[in-house]
Amino acid sequence: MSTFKRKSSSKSVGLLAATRASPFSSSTILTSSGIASLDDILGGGLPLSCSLLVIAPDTHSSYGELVQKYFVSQGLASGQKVCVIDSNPRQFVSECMWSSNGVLSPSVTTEVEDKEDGNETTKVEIAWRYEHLKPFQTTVSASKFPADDFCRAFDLTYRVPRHFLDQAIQSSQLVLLDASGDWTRLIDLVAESLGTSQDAVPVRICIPLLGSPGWGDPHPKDVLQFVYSLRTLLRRCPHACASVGLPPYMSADRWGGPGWLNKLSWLFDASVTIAGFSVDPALSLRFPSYHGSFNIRALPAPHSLLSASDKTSTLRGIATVPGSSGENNIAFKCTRKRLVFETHHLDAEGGVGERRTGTAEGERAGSNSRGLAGLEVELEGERAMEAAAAAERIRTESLTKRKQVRFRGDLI
Amino acid sequence: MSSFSVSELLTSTGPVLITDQLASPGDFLLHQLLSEYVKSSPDGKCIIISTSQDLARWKAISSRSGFNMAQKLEQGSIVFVDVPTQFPDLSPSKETTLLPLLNLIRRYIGELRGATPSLLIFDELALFQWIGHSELDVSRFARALVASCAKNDVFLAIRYHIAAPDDLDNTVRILLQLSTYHIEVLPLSSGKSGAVSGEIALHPGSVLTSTPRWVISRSRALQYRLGEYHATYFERGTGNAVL
Repeated sequence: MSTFKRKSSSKSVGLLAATRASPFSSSTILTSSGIASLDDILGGGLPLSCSLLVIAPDTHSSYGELVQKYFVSQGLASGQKVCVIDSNPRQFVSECMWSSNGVLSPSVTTEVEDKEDGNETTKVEIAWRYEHLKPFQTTVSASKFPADDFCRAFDLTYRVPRHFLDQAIQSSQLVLLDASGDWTRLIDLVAESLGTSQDAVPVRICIPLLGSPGWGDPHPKDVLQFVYSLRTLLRRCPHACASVGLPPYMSADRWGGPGWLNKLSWLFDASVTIAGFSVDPALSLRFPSYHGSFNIRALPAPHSLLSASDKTSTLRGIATVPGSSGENNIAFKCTRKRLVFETHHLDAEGGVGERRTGTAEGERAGSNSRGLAGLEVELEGERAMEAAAAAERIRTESLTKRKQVRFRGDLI
Repeated sequence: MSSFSVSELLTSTGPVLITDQLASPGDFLLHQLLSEYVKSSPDGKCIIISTSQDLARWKAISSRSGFNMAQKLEQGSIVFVDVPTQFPDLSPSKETTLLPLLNLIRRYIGELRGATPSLLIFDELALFQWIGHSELDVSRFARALVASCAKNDVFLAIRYHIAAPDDLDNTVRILLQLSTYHIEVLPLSSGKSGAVSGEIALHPGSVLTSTPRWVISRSRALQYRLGEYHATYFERGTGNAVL
């Protein structure tokens, strides 16, 4: 009998549910954050035994919570165990997004979703010398990854079904911990929950708003100590990962003292800032295509000095151009159906209006309520007479506006 | 200069202090120091006290640096203390001090007495203040640690995070007074780059009695670029992106 054994791929051996090995380091196991573009920035996903801090200083929006909801939805959809710690965890989970048809399918390409959002791109004729170039892309889609359950497609217009939540709670797939009580014991409760879970199932710990008013009035040192304990817990449980969000008022150094955000970021493996433009209306006017900026403070590197994102991230742009001078600016926008992170580019030179000429008011192509194209009829003679009158009016106005120069002697 | 050796800075009179910032972590210097020390002193002993990096990361990076850390751990040449897991109650809220950790370190140092030159790497010290220990306790711990190593001729390297560069605390000021060399890992003022990860400045400490081996001022800082498991050093303007 032959002793030949087919070498099995790393994807199928020893990997947990909805995870994949990092292409950068085979010993690093990644799980999706629920947002394909955020996975790209993190280096393929959030590594197990690592934690992510999402800082959201914008008080007029809740993009930070939105990222946490993606994290929870991805965990529920992938069959992973999810532990949510919040002052009202049931309400938070009930607001998480879900897929449109209830059937959890892998993420589709962004072209389909863009068409549904009304951003349909029409085919334009371009010069032949540019035909071989790829279309300009500002983000990544999950389609570049194999079609598996790593990153699901969620629709912001849909919520997770109530019966699914009840079933998940009943089966202990979803664990809800109330932080309004003695939150100092939360780590012990989470540890108990991790202890009962099977090692074959990854565990996601989600804290949407760490230290929010529902938690009481924590001191900055209490928050740091809690995070330190959380990191210790993740070190002991290598099949778990965590995503933590900060309330807007805590997302500034003035709350915790000098270096507050740096201290907190040091205790996390990855730390990012999602700042909405609503804080500064000038930014909203300057960048109408985006809803906020995305800044990176730290990236996970659990088994190497260099983060995998530096080598593999398409959005950051460091890997694409060896020895490049810098990385791309990244912004985000929240459409009707999804949240996406994109490279942040300036608009066309001079702004939005310089190169684009809008149609005249009288000639605007429109459609009536029946969807038929509108039609306006004008006689040629009338247009010609109107044009001639306008030209004569302009000529006379220019003549009257000429500056008259006279010498002082003429006035006497 | 296209190379930077941390092990050549080690002296028994005081520690080498490594300060870094969030945008420019200095853990690569600790891994480089361990690798250089193990290769230069195969029979030497090393104690690693870690509050930030876990053992898996140390093993992964050391395996690409040319030595088998797992084997060294089994032989007893390297002792690794993972502070968060071995001392989970090390927080003021649970009425514990840093004394148990200090006693453990002293015990390990005592076991090295009379042996070949030894190295102790302490990564990282500022965390204790962040989780609630007072500056006085942490500074006393630092003094005791430095004294124990100096008394037993153990080389010491300490990493300290600078969370607010414009607002240094008293602990780092005390460490600067106790150190022989201060390696400052600085981020680029222009932000992250694919060609340059950060800069290194080297300052002689107050305790250093002999002529410093070399000094690198901030204005002429040595730049480095991180690889997967090591760093490459080069002078300003001599990086691959420029050449």
